[in-house]
Formats: sequence, structure tokens, C-alpha cells
Amino acid sequence: VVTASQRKNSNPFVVTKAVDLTDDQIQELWVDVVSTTDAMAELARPSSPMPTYVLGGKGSGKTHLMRYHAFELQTLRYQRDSLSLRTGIAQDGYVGMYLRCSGLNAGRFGGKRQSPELWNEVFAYYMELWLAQSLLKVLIALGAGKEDGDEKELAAVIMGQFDSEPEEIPTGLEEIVSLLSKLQKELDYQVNNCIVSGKLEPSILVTRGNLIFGIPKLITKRYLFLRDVMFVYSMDEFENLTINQQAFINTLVRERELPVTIRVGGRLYGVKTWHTNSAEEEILQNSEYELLPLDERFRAHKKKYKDFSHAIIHKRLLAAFEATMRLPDLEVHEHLTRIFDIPDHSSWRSEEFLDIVGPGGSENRRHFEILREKLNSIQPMGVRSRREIDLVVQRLSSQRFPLLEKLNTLILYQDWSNGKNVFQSSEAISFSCKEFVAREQQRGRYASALGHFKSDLIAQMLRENGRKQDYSGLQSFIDMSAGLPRALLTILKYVFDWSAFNGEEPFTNQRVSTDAQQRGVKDASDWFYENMRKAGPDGAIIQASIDRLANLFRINRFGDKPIECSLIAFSLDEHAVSQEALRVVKLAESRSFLIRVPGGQRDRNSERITMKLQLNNMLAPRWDLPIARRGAINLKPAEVNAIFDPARTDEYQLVYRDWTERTNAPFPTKKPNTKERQGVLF
Amino acid sequence: LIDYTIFYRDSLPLNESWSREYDLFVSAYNGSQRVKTVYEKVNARRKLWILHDEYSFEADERPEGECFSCKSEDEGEYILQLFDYLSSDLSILRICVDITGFMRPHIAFGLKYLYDSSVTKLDMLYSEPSQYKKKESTQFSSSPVELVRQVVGFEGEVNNDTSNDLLIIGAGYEHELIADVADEKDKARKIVLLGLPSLRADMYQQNAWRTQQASDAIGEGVTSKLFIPANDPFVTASVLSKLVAKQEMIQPVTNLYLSPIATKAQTLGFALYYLAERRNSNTSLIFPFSGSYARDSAIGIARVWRYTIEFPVI
Repeated sequence: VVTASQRKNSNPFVVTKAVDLTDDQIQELWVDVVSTTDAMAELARPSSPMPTYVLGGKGSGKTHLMRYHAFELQTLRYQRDSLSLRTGIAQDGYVGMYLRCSGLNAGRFGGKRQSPELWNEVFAYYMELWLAQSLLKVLIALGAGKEDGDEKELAAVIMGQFDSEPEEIPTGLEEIVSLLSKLQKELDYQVNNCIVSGKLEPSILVTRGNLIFGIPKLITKRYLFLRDVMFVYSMDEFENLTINQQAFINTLVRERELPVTIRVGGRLYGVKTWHTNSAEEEILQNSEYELLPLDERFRAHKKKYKDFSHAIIHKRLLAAFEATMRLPDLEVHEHLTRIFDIPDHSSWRSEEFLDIVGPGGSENRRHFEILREKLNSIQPMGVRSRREIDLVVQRLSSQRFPLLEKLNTLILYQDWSNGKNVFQSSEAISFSCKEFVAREQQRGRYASALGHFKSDLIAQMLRENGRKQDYSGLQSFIDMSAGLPRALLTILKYVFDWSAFNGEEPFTNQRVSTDAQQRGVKDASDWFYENMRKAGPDGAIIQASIDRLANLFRINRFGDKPIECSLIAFSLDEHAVSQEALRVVKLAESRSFLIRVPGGQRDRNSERITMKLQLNNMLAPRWDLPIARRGAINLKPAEVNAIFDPARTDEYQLVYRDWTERTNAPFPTKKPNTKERQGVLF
Repeated sequence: LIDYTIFYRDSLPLNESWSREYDLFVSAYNGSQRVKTVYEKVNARRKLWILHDEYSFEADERPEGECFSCKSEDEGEYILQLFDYLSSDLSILRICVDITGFMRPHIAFGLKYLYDSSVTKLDMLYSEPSQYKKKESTQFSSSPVELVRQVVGFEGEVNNDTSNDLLIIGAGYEHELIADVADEKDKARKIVLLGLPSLRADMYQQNAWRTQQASDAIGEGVTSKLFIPANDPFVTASVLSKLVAKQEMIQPVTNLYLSPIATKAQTLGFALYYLAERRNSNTSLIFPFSGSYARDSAIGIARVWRYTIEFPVI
């Protein structure tokens, strides 16, 4: 048995980024959920000739995916399967060359008293040298020429791709790599020093594409084992390139020649242009390239994502504590679900609710204290005296079922806001409650309200009684991560740390306490908020607008009468909001603070389909919000502008006040129509 | 290895006049008492304030005396225009530069320019604050980072093999900067250098606390923490020299990234080390650039250091 202190030091989730994993770890932790015959399968088509842009939020698994299909990892798999490199490559039908654009330090290819046109030329030549070296190193590893006894001839053919000959003609692949490396260094020197020297005059020895497309064409004809092999340049971190440099890569995608294809990996916001250098035309989706929005796919295939999540957790646990975690596949799901302590909130009869409200008489519970205060100070229709207040509370009381008491108060507030006689309402509610307890009807206003608002009522009950919100259980963590595996691993990392800190023995001998889960989830939510923003002046603007939005959702969740149940989603008419607000909405979406809900929402008045978005589930615990989306609110253009346009602080204050008034007693006396309310507000 | 500690370094008295004379004195105006005091006390035939756009001074806020400012897209262009403006044979001048108010990338490129201009010797001054205004919460950059890039003139050759890239961060108070730099080179192993001895006793804890907040970007389980003095560029350069040599012995470093984001004295140390040992190699100086900087983040003046740089030694 592993002790708690050892466990604390061996958190299996401590590495959450693929870049921090070794090639062996990438191989070991790889989970194959994609090689099936559904829409996810395109992830597993590395030999497809169609270029692909793999885009996703930070931590969606782009790098893991691209590295897995790189030659270094292919080699590891062939070793594992006792295959020769040549046999393995022939069987795979592709060879992957993984390169990170950040390694180029692309920012240096600009300015320095040189023209943009010259920089474009220099960058294109630099890329040719850079990619060609990567290709040749793979060929050397495959023994091309050397094992075939024709290396000199091969070298001569490759050198034939050059427009002018260098001083010393290489006679082998290693020498060609050295030559390209020397040319690259010379270019580096000129690029780096041209600001002082004033000179940037590279001698360009090869036409663009002659090496990176030309060499694969030559060698697939020359060697049988490469005959049906696709050469894949995988360029990760596309966001690190400038607009002109991205246009150049897009041009390569357009002009690529078989047997070469290109994969581009980048963040959601990473694509600055789809233009090419060919007369500024854009490359065309689905004919010239495919788009693979990774986390969106994960979200769309919930079952797959759940299986995938279980598998990656199991792999991590196996790697960390192999002896205790080796389980038959069928038991993995069950075991992982059992690891976490989950309070039973599934039924309104659960005794856990009695524990939350604490001992004592029903009428002294916190929600009734609040109700009494409001009835006493506001005195709505039908309630004037202390005796009437006592009677209302007595009618709403349900000693054994505190959740139903919460529901009773909610319905009372609903009637109150609709201008009904509160005293009479309480009598009707009392009757409905008793009927429900006796027969547990599934239909009718009472049952429907419970079904809709249960999550909000439990959240209110927890908050009113000084308890932490409940986000426990593996499925909650998976839902929170919203298609970003790194977010899931980060939650587990923090939960594990808290569990070990609490003296538990997480993930093996005992269940992880709800306390550790709550603290871990909160930390993970804060991590997401701080770390998804990234650099740039817009980062703070995104955070500020998300703060505003989430605070409105919180007002709704904890209001006397929420406008919508489990509200973390909203729709907006993108044609009616200000340009700045729409820009910030899209920025927040590109940084994964907001998630687009597929299909949008139909506007009740205009029948127009509007843009529908939700707060990223990872952020929900930061504001005690639900992680499961149910209701959605159609935000008015003025509200969208006030939330997402950073300059409109005063207008936001009005929206904030409006939401507070609409969701809390005494409620606006007469519900004004939309135009009137907008007029009042702005 | 070069022993940088043989360079002269002394502390100048605040209550006495300074005897050394110069032909040219350059300082960057940031409104702080520190730079004004030093500007007053230095004896020079020509004194020049340079005005960085990043401090956003209005025309009526300019200091008395000769000023230089220019619109430039980067530190390289700025420094070139500065020396075009000075139009002097630098190699025959006795030069003194107060680096306290300078932008860090400008310190680095300026040093490179002087090194390449056959200047053999110059003094650089750095004044320590008594305290930062908001202690561990002090923000020096007043807007978020817009771009992390190599400093002009300190852009190394690219090694296509990135399997053992190393990022050494001279970590200051602003964890956002540390996180941004670490994010930019997230594939690289990271070593964080904290300022110890710090400028003031409590500044080490403040520095360590802020650095901890960037732990997610730095990565866990791959981080080493080492120390460099906050006010000594020569020891900083020596520590870097030994550290990199040791790393190279363990396993050759494929690409080396140096990021000085703490004190200006440390920035000078990073630049010196680069010019002396890492030119035309796989080494780059990288920096997180913000659009604007707080003019005056410190209170008081504790000590003024004079560092004498003798280029032939390096």
C-alpha cells in the first residue's frame, strides 16, 4: 500500500501539458478513442492527403495528437512491435515531421530597416531550409540511399533540385543536411545583424518548394517501401507566426504537391488570416483543407469524450501506481466513478438536505428567516400582520423535506412577482406540496418547478447555510472540462493535492472527500480564469466582461425568483449589438471563456436564429454557478453592450440593478414591456 | 569561462559630490527621484535625457535640459536613432549611462551598439530604491504584455533540434511577465533565477511569492530555482556563465533562451554574458513587451552603484 505522504509526492496528474511529456510518456499515455468509424475518426487519419488545420483551445490535445503522429513516436511504436522502420512506415502509410513554429522565433523576420517584401522572400527561403532538414533527417534514419547502396546517386538527384551549386557539392544525405544547416546559420546571421550591418542579401540557392515537395516526389519513385507513403509536415503553434508568415504557410497548403501534405496546429484564436500569397485569395475549406476544431468535437461526442476521459485517467493511475490500479477494462468505469465521495442530492427525499439545514424546527430554517424578513418589511398583498406571516411560513413548512420547503418558497415568490395574493398562494402551495409528497406526481406546476429549479434550490440551500457548493464526482469534472483534456487533468491534479493534504490516500485506499473535491475544483476554476487569458491588452477586457456576465448569472441563481433555471447560457442578436461588444464576445469565445452552443437559438419575436453561447463550465465554480446548462436567456442588445463593451460601466450598473430587482422581492410592480424597460434603462 | 567579478563596481556616496568626469551622460527620464538625483550629481560636459514612449510623457512634463525622443518600432531602431542624433565619435568619449530608467531591451541593445562601436570603456549607474511603492504587488508594466520576442541584436541561431531547449528567467516581481515568457517557450526546460541577495531584505520574499504565482506556466517538476544578486551585473553574468556551462556538460543545450525580467542591473549582467560568451550561437535574449510602463514604481533612493564595463576584457 502506498502511503499518503508518498502519494502526495507522486501526483499522477502533475504534468498537464503535452510539451512537458517525453516521447515515451506521449506513447504511454496515448488513448486511442478516435480510430472508429464515426466523425471523430478523422483524427486518426494521419495518412490522408487532405491538409488539416487542427485548432483548439489551450489544452485541447493538439500537441499530443500531432506529436503522437510524428516520426519519433512512430519509431517507438515500431520498436514496441518489433518492426523495422521501413516496414512500419510502409504499413502506416505516412511519415510525420513535427515542427513547432515557436522555434523559428518568427518575430525577427521583420522591421530592421528592410522592406516587407524582402522579409517575405527571406522567410520563405528560411522555411524551405528548415523543413528540408527535418525531412532529410527522417530519410537518414530510414537509411535511404545508404542501405540501398545508391547514396551518392540519391545525393546527386537531390542536389539537382538546387538552382545553383554550392562551392562544395555534398555526396551524401548527412552532407546535404550540413549544407542546409550552414545556409540556415548564414541566413540567421544576416537576419539577426542586418539592423547594424544594414545588409540583408541572402543568396537564395533553391526555388521555393523544390526541396520540401521535390524530394518526397523523387524518393517515393526511387524506393519501393516509400511508394505509398505520405510525407506530413506538422507545424504546431501557428499562432506564433505573423499574418504574412501565416499567409505563406497557407500558400504552401494550396501549392503542396503529392506525396506531401501539411497539418497545421494552433489555438482557436491562432489563425490571423486564411489568405494566401496568390493574389490575396483565401484557401478554401473542405476543398483545399479540412478544419478540425478539436475541443468542439469532444463536446459534440459526449459519450466518446467520457470514455476518452476515463481512459486517460486510468492510464495516468496505471503509470503512477501500477500494482494497485491494474483493472479489467470493464471495471475501469465503475472503479473511477467510485473513487470520489458524492453527496446524494438525486432525490428530494434525500436525508442529506436535513444535514444541510441542520437540527431544529422547520420554521427556524434560514430560508424561512429570510422569507419572514421580506414579508415583514415589504408586506405584499394578503400579508399584513405577524399572525399572517406565521401562517404563511407554517403552510410552506415541510419538516422532513427541506428541499420542498425551498421549492415552496420559490413558488410563493413567483406568485408574488406576478402580483398574486401571497396569503392565498401559500394555501395553494401547501396543498400542492402535500399532494406531491403523497403521490409524487410527475406532472403539474409543482413537479415541473422542482424539475427545473432543483439545482438552483440546492445551491441556494447550501449557500444560505454556509456550505460550499457541490461539484463532486468524476462526471462533474468531465462536464466541467468541456472538451479540454488539460482542464480535466488540472482539476484532478488539484483534487489529488487537496486530498493528500487532508491526509487521505487518494485514488486507491479510500474515497476522495467532497472537501478535497470542492477545494480542488475551485482552484482549477481559478487556474482556468487566470491562465486561459494569455498575454495581450484584450486579456483584461475579456476577464472584465466575463466577470460582469457571471455576476448576472449569480444574481439569477441566488435570487428569490430566478428568471431561468441553471442559467449559464445566453443568446444575442449579433446584428443588433455594438461592434466592440461583438468583438469582445468573439474574443472571449476564441480564448475558451465562452463556448458556442451549436444550432443557436430561435428568437421568440423575430423567429431569427441568434448566436447562442454559454459560460465555459470550468469557470462556473468561481461564481458558484451550475456546470450543467439548462436555461438560456435572450440578452437584449443594450444588455450585451453593457456587459461586453468595457467602456459602458454605468450602463452595466443599471443592468445589474435591473436583474437584481427582477429576481428579488419586492419585484417590479408592473412588468414593463421590453421597449419601456429599455427606455428606462438607457 | 570569464571571471566577470574582476570588473570594477563601487557604491557612490549620496551625501558627497562625485568626482569622476564624463564627456557624455545619458539617462532615461521616468519621473522618479532616483533618476533626477543621479542626473544632478553626475559631472558631464553633455547631459542627455532620453524619453521612452512607453512612459507616455506629455510635452509639458518633459524635464529640463537636452532631451531625445523618437518614434520607433523596436529598441534597435531607437538606439540607432539615438546615436545618429548624438553624431559623435563614441570611441574617444568618456561615457556614463544611468540605466535605472531605461527599458530593459534598450539597455541590452545599447550595450551591444557601444561594444560594436569600438568603445573600450564606460560607466553604467544603477540606483536602488528604498522600497517599491506597492511592495510585492508592484506593477512595473502598466499594460498587459503584447508580445514576447527576441531582443534585437540578441537573436541567436536557430537549432532545429529542440529536444533540450533551456529557458533561464531572471524573475522579478511581475508573475504575469514570467508566465508569458514561460508560455512562449513552453517546450523549454525552465530555470528560474531569483534575486538574492535582494535590494532590500524583504524583497526576496516578495519576489519568491510573485514567482510562485506563475508556477502553472513554468511547469511543475521541471523547474529549478537558483539565485543571482539583484544589484550586481558581474556576479549575475558569472552565475549565468557557470550555470550554462554546467547544463551543457550534463547535456548539450539545443536552444538557449535568456529572459531578464527583474532588475536593470541583472539585465545588464544578462547582456554582458551574452556579448561575451553567446554571440553567434544558439542563444537568444527574449523579453515580454508591454505597450506602457509605470513611470515611477519606487520610493526613495537607497544606494547608487557604478559599474565600469571594459569591453576588451570580454
